[in-house]
Amino acid sequence: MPRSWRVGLAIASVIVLALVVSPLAYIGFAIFRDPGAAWSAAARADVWMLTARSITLAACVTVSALALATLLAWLIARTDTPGGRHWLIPLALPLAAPSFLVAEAYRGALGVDGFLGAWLAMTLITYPYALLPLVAALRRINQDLELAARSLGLGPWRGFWSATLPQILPTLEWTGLLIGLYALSDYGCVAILEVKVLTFAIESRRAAFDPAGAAALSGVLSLLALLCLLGIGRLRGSRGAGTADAQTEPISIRIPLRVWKLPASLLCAGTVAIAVGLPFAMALSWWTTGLEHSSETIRSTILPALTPAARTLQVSLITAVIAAIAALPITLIIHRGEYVRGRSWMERFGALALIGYGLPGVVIGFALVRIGLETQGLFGLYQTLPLLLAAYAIKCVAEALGPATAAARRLHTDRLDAAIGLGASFTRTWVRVGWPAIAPGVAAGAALAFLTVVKELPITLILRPTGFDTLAFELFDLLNEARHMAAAPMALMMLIVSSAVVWVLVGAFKE
Amino acid sequence: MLFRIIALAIIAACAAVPALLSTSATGADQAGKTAERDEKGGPLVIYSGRSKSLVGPLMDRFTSETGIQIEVRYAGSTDMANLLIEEGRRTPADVFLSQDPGALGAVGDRGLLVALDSDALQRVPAAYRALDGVWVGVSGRARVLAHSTIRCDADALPASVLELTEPHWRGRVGWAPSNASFQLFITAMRHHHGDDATRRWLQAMKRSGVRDYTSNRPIIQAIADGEIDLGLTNHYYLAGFQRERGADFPVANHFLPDDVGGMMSVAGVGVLTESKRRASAARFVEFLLSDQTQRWFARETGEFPLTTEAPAPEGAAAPDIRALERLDIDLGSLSDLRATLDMLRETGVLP
Repeated sequence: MPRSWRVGLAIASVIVLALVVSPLAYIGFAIFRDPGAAWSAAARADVWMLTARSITLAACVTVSALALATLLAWLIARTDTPGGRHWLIPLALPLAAPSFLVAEAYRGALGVDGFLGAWLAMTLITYPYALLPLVAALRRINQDLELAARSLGLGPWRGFWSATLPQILPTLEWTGLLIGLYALSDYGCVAILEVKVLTFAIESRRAAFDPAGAAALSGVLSLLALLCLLGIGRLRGSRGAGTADAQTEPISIRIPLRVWKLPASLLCAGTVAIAVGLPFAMALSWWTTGLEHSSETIRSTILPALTPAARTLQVSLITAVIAAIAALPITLIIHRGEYVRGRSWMERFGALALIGYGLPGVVIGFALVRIGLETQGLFGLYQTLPLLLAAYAIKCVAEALGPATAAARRLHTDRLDAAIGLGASFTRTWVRVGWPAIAPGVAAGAALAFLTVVKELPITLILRPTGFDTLAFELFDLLNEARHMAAAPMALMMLIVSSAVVWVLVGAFKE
Repeated sequence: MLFRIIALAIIAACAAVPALLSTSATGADQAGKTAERDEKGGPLVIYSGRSKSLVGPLMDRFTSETGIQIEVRYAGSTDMANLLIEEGRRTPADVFLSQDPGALGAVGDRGLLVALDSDALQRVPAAYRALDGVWVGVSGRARVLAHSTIRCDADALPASVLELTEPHWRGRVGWAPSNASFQLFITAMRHHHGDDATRRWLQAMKRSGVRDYTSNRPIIQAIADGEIDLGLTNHYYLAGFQRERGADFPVANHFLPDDVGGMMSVAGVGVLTESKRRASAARFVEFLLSDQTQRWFARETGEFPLTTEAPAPEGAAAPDIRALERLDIDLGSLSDLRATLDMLRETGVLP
């Protein structure tokens, strides 16, 4: 890599990282503004309980979401489940549902609440993060190992355990990290289901107008997130290089399910019904019941949703592009790090960029309020779109980074070296060989970021330009006043806006 | 794949171009506005903790009646108060319209609100405004026991929240401890019955299996769904459900006119110290307390008018606005939120 590129990438990465970790600086600032209040919030005995419950919830959700995703991915990619890959789009749609809506649907329709309810709800909200990359990974793995395992007399279960699982482990790792951070930082779901975790306590401190106390608890939460990130870095460092020898032939063996065909189809259908069907059926019933009892028409309830939908589409698309671009320099640095000394250090450095995903939206929001106010004389960005987009990007870089680095990991430098050896310039090599290899990963990451912004609420509430009311805002505002009928089109419009992107996402991971 | 990415890129470009144009326009507007504010005043900036879907029409009417341009920013009252505290002296806001007195008190306590015009204050009973006159209530909402009309006998409903700890109600009651109205009610209870009695009541409620909800609306939903039979809420949420699900919606309000659990709270308004548009802000406060707007609250939001002249909403067996005085409670003196929250944490009601 030419020196100018290296310097450029390093500078770009440092800028992105500085932005992403800026909420941590705000947390520190808020604690030191009133250390007494911060200490009295952090030194309470029940902070340990809250922390333990946060960790337990995040761990349970991560394990169950990964297990569900692996099972579904295996059924879709490697067996003759009826419907096959056509299940992918409906199974990916839970990404489009805001967590407070899902939680409310489960509490109302299934009567689940508390820890178990949150566990179920978050599992069904987050499993698609792992499902799509796992389907892609399972299609690409080296089948020779599985064949070898089978010829050595291992059954399908042990064969999967010893030959298949190690190959999808890197995918499980980064998606698991995203899911864990999601579960740590989510508030919408735990608020509705009344699970007393750290985010819940942060919110109750804020309700007491105790910013230092809220910051102290946010500090505990970000320490947990940092420990997760470091843990992953260590895991990678100890295991050596990932599997770069990608399968080029499409997978040919499809395991016949025979009598298990029906249960497999039922599992797919059941997951779709509960994870997507239930929340949106609830919204539909709000709509139809409301229409029955009022003089409103379908048209008059849909029209107010159009402008917010356009705004949501705008900010989501722009954030998706920003997040993808912001993730690129770090991706390339990590990629370069794969084959040089200091790799594990670089991975940890890159992993730090994921911290934004482990912070609750209000923490990011208020951090940027502070930054916006402090620099108002300089940039005049307070309550403007750029500051809102910056906050979204802090949250979403993590989602863009995962698939992009995964794609880059499969790009062996031999291929780049070969092109350079044949006389191509470095830039041309990247344009012709490097970019096509990582583009699907970048696109997938951008699509994930898009879906997060569509349903994002706390950052939107705090930072949007006055009057820039999005679908998520309208849904929140209308539900506050129990205007279910008017709220329903907002929720359904979110599903429509997201569906198109889920379609792109599925395509991106199929490559 | 390539096709999909190109398709996405085209959509992105279509959406991004107008957005970016509007961004730069907003930026320019903003700069223009700031300049304009300093010279001519610019639009009146209102931070509203009350929902857009509720007070939006009212805001439009203010502009059409007075010709004063406004810019309204909506979020929850707690978020708004925290935002105002974070902004401090640099706030762009002129007026803070809040869902509850607690948020106004928190902003006022930090010296961010100015004392209001005394004519405006005088129109509202003393129990419903700040002691130092920095905020005034604009509409009243009663705490009630919302109950199932199917599973609760209307004659056997308690006359006081203190009775809810009886075995008869075990596991049938819901409340919203993180909700500001609930916390205000607990503060009032501490003033009225004393800290020890309040603590004992909270503990007894926990022991008898009270269920937690985030806010008032889910409580009513849960009563309709059969999850609980009775809940401690504000009175006016039920109207929304009845409007959309018909009058046979199986939940009703039970008012407790002589109990602290049936106290009246208010939504209120304050003007920011930093406001450069005090005259317009005063007009807005006046507008909220005008007869016409007070009637509008009664009609559209089902809340109780607070000025002495305006009539109560139809149909509601309303506690009259003197009820707080009978209970010897003054909302202006209930700023002791921190001690209430400490008690809620101590008793394990809140984390």
